[in-house]
Amino acid sequence: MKKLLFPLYAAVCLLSACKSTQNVARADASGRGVVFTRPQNYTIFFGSHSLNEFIELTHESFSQNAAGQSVISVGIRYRGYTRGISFLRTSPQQINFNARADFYRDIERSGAPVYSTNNQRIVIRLGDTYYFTATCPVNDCRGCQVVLSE
Amino acid sequence: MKSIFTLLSAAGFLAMAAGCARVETNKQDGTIHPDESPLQGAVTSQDIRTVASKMAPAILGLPEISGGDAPVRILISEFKNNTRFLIDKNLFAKRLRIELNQYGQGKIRFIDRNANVQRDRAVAVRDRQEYLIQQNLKTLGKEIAGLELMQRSDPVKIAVIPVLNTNLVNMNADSFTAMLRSEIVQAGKGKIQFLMPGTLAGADYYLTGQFIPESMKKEGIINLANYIEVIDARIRSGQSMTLDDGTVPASPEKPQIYTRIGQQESELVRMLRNPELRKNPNVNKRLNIMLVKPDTKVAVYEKMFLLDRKFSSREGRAQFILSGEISALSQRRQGTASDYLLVSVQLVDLESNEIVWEGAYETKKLSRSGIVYQ
Repeated sequence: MKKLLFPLYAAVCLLSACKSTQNVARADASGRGVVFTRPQNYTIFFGSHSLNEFIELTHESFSQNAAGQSVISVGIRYRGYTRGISFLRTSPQQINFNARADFYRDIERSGAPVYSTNNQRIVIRLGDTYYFTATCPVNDCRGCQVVLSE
Repeated sequence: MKSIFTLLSAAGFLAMAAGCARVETNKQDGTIHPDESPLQGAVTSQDIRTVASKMAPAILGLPEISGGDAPVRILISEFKNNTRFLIDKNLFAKRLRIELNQYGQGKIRFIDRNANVQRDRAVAVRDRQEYLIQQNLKTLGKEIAGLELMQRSDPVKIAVIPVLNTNLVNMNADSFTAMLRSEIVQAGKGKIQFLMPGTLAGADYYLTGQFIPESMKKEGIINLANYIEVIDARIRSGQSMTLDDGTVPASPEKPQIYTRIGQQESELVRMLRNPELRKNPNVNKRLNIMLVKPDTKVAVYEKMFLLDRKFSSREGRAQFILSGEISALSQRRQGTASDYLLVSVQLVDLESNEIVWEGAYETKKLSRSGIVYQ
């Protein structure tokens, strides 16, 4: 058993490192409108913490305002780390990440976005919910995708 | 068994190392994304872009802008920097204007205030105005030549009296009169003849005019009829038509200072010699051309046209003013600085002076820097 420990350990690390491959396929219309980019840094032990592990989406809404502009609103709650918490290591009091909204002419989100916001910095305290909203100045947008990244 | 174990361990280690390897996909040349802020600072490019990204759709969504068919004209006022940071305060305004122009779909027009553009614009407008003047003179020449009183069996004789108030605004309107004379002769086809400059005797009509600058600061205009009287008196006494030729008053044997004509002449010369009145104000300047009957001093023909247009930045066409303020609250303690930044932008109605829209962006940052300026 002891002799198999090291190969087993190597295999687990190998599996974790497989997550370093970037997936460039875009989320399609059947998927969620919010996508998370993969973490920038990885550790040897059991992969790495991804944004979607410690934040949750409370709501997503896509509507039109009185001027006919499309508005996306996403509620983002920082619930804290759910993995790797210990007596010595607790969740940070606040997290910083970027959010960007891309608006598309159609629901299928095909082609280039007609309007993209910049990467806006978001700071959320532990337990708080931040409502990220973005408005598209171009009328007749039917699709939107929000990208959250570190 | 031991060798199998060693082999497996080595393979596992290699696989792990391969999985952890980072592949360089592109060469780093120092260019970074505008939203990245590798250096600490209270105001970053990300803040400027976020302000534009948040406020541009809000402005475009206003009923005053999205509701109408005609474009709305906005004048951008200088943003005020109330912070300790050395930033280009108009960078926020520029980025916001770019966003509005890019996605406004023609609903917004900004009044330009760039000094280089205004300078080039002044040159182009002046060129265009000169072309229009030439066209006007051609049309005027044809009109005068086509008048009924010019249709006689014998040629009509016209004498030219220099245009009044020419030098008051440093304009060479006499050149325009000369060009007009040439156009009249050309259109007249021999039916109109001009007397030699300085000669009034035998003229059927006087061709003269008045140069009228709008809204002149100093009052320097004399009545045209009195002017013609003065010129008449000078010519009869053998003087030239040039008022400031040093032979004031009209009669060298007996000073006419206290006569009506003498007084007017003295006043005219005084105005001509006053350097203050020779400045060229930025106002519309019109030329009023007249054909005057010598005996009755009645203007039988009169027409006014624009000779020089006032160069205007057209800021009066704006309907709204976009202005903003950058404020900050900075605190320092033991090498750590915290800066709270508030960027506020307002849209003010030009007529009613009401703030029709206001937006704000706030952020707070910590930095570890001991320098005073960032």
